[in-house]
Amino acid sequence: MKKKRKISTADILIAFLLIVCGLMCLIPILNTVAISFSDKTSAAMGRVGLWPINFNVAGYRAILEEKQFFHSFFVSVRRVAAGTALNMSLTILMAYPLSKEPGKFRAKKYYMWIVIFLMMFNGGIVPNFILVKNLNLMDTIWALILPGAVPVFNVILLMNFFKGIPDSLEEAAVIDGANPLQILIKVFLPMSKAALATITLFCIVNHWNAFFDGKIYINSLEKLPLQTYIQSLVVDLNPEQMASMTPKQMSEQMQLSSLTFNSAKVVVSMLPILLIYPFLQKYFVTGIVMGAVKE
Amino acid sequence: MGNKYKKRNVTERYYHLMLLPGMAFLFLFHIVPLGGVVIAFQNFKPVKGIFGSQFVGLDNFRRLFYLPDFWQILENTLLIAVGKIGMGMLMAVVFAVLLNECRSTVLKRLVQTSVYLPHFLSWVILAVMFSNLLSYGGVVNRFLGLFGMEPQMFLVSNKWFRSIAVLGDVWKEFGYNAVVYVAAMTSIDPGLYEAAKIDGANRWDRIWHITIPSILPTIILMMTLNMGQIMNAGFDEIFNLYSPLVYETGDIIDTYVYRVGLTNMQYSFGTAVGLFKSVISFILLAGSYKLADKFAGYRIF
Amino acid sequence: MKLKRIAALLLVPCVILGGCQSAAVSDETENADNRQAEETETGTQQDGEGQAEADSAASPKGRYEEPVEVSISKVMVTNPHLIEGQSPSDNVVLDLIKEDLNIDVKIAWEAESSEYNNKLSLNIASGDLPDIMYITNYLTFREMADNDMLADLTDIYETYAGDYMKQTYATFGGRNLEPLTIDGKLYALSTANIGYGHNILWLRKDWLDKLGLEVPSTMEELKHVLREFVEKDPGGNGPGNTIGLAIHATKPVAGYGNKFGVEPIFHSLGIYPTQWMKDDAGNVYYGSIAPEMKEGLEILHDMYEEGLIDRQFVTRVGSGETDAIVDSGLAGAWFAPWWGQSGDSYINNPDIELTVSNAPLDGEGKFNHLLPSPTADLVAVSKDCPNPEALLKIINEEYDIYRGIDAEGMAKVQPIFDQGVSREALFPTGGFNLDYYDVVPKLGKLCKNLVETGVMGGDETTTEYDRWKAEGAKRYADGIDPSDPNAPNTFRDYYGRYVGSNILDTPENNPVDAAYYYTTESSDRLKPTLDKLEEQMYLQIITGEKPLEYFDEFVEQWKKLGGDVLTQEVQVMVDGQ
Repeated sequence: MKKKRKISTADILIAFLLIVCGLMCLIPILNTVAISFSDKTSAAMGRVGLWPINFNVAGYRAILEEKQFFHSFFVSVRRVAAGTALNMSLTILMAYPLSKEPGKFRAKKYYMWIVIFLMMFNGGIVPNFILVKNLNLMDTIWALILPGAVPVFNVILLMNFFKGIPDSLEEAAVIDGANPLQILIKVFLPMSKAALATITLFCIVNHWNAFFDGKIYINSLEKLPLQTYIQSLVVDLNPEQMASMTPKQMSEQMQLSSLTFNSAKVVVSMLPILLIYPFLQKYFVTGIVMGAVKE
Repeated sequence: MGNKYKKRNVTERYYHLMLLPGMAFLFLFHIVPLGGVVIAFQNFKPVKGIFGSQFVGLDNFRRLFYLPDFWQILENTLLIAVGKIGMGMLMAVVFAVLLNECRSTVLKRLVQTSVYLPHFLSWVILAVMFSNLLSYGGVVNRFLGLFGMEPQMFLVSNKWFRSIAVLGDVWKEFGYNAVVYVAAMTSIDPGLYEAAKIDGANRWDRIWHITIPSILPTIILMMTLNMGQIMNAGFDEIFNLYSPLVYETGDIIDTYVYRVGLTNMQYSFGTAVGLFKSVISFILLAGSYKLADKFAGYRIF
Repeated sequence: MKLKRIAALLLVPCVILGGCQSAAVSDETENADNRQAEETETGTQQDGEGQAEADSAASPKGRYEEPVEVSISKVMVTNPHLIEGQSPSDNVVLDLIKEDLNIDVKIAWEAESSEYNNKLSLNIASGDLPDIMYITNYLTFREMADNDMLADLTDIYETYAGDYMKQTYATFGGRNLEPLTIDGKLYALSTANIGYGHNILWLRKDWLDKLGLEVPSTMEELKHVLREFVEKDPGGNGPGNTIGLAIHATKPVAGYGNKFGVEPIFHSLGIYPTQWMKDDAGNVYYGSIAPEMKEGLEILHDMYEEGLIDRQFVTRVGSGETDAIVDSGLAGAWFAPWWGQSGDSYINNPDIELTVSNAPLDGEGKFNHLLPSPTADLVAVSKDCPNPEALLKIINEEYDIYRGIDAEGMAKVQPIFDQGVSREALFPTGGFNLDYYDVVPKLGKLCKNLVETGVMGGDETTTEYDRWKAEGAKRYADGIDPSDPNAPNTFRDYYGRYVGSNILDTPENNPVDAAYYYTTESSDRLKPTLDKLEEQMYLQIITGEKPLEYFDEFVEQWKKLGGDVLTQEVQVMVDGQ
């Protein structure tokens, strides 16, 4: 029976506040979308609000003409694909043994300590650069994939989830003579679909959004991943630089810094996230709950 | 008897093997570079390499403490980090309460969809959006103009930058951060609310006396865990938003390390600062995890 | 190199058997013979290596006997408009270099300009430098030179620099190589930091005409004109909307060639902010703390108060915002170099008319302006490179192609560039350029000739590019249809090359040399804070946020925070020169 409750002022206030929250999150996004469809001067003068002024698609046309955007887009796509595949396989393989009680797996404590320790300490940019260079990974997509091969946070997440799976299931499999690998694949994975979906989505998002490693490890324009590429466009001119530029370079730079063009690129690079967003929404709640609220 | 142990050994062998690839990667890409921190204790000259550079012990660290800039940077880092954590949690809790109290599922769904989105966007993208929004004629300034306020140069003024950095991060994450609290709220026994209503408690009373106290453990847990993040004011965000004009208030440890370590070619010094930060972070994190364990029985592993 | 050893060994039986090409004779037959030898012979490719190589490779464009590989690092062009088959690491220019010089150019790495120095720094840290490096930061260069990482180019320059390079460098009078010479040895080459890029005054001529005003020359005349603009609104922008003088949002006083900077106002008072100057006694001082600065600041503040300077200038910090107020016809005057006009202003208003003036003049009727830094970007060679002269050869080749001296080569590359591909992306030395120091006024005169007399003058140094620019100016002068896609370019040719460039070396000009243009030992540590303090001081005093008296406080602070230390260091550098 649905009780029909009259709407109180509190309800209205709450609804209002929620709507404000929702709008606040959308406004910056809408503003940039509007700018991407506006003309250059209006945008530079800051006249554009939530709606385009002098609607035109010059920014988007520029993207089509500029092959580099697509190069970078697909570099990121490849990186996401390979990176996620690698991350997930390693995460699954590692989470399982680490979810075992120390009684069943004596070395677990040591592994855990190492893993946690590594999460917090880093050699810094220079040693990492030297390492990647010496491994001949410089300027390859592998430099973006291999160093981050083990996403420790996800491992811990999945590990906690595995811990929640009843022992009885595992014991049954053991009796059937299954080895740990088989147990993992035949018992644990099917039970962890939600958790796996969540972690996969996290991997995808992290790889798509990464920009700093591209800056350090990639040396040629065609191989830049998308976010690094976009970041390189949003560059401020300073007078010292300007003094040594030829006018042609200057006008090129000014055109590059054009708000509309950059905004268009930003909008397009958001699209993949928006595409998987429904799935993200569905699964990430699980993820956070898994990680923070322990039964 | 022997069988059981043999079986365990066999099983354990599998465990080790399963961990092997991952550990190999971790070893190669985390432990090996870690050896590079030795340059923090040297006067590293690239020409001489790591093995040829002079060992100077703690000199670089001493220099760190005497550098007037350092205290400023530490202040920036802490202020921004604490601001983010504090305001972030407040906003997340408030939002969670609002969601919990909302009667309309439709409205809830709509708002949630829009509010979770910013978390998944990169700071490269968000920086462009923010600078569009906060520009002189941008939406924010025009909105302020409605109230007769002078337009502000938010991103390039030392007066505003830290606040913008904090607010920006809160904006990005409050939806995502609220999920934990929302989840905790769903496990509150409805009977408590019924009983309170019968006792004559109004909306606000119910929120203040039932909802909040019930999620207090979660709040404390999150606060404790966040404590370990106090040195991470957010490199991605600051790097994409800052400019030389706001180095004074916006430069955090991570961005400082990047600039000083690379642009100025002070490799040893940069690494020393980075190492210093890692050590403090580690102590804080370890401390916060121990506390979380004590208070909430929450263990990472 | 192992090959050399093998070659040396093979040479012996070769000579004995008399089966190798004679190592004497002239370059041409030498090259032809050797090329043939390379094609027909396999294992004994290194025939006649020793002496033959010395002969042919000893000329600025001599082809190497055996292929030489060089790696080079360059600045990434983020919008290169590449076409099929052309990329920075594989393109028609590199092919020509291989064909003509037998040099295999490998791009070691690229980085986009604001990160280039960081990337270079990382590579330095990893101890692995490419053979040839583009260097964007003078201090990095000094660091590398002081740490013995660079090759000595002194003799190599003498022997291998091509004619064009020597000619253009000559117009600098050695000024451009001085900072690159340490202990008498040259360690890098400089891009041409051509002169005449100082700020001049740009005004809306149509507004002046409409109000019956003369082109201003003195400070008073300028203020009068600005007043008229703001009050009478000749541009029809609506009351209170017209801006007198547009000014840079964050760095209104920065130095040489600062578009929208107001340095000329200070120069007319005989002071040179942001520059290290020398007084009559030979003492170095920092221009911005000279007491006369107060006078300049007062002028600017009063202008701001009166509304002659854009009241909202500090808020226009986004890129292109200050340009936008000029382009949309809101502003009537601005300081900028000869190229300081934009096609957008024409597109928005094809009837727009501009003029320029060497203003404000000083008390003696002179227009004081700064000289640019002697160097800009650099290229240097790593000490470990076995063929340092390759750099010179590559530059020679690039330039012969670019300037059309190598007609054949140009015929191959021009079609590519005509499609809009970025030259900097394809040329291995990237943005490295050679040019005559006075190329701007020279071209200005060429344009003037063509526009006013219809005669295309020029001499043997005039290039296709020069003629093309002059023609553009003429087309605009003759009246071009605004809908012509080339119209904005001709607009800029006319105003930039014809109108602007011709007042740069007129008699009232008084170029002033600073005492020192570079950084010193403590610069990177101290300068950022000092610069910040200074930049803010300008904004604060001009807008009235702080009173004029604050300047004295600024000077005290500046000295205490490291200014004195830097001044001393500069003094040492200057005395040592």
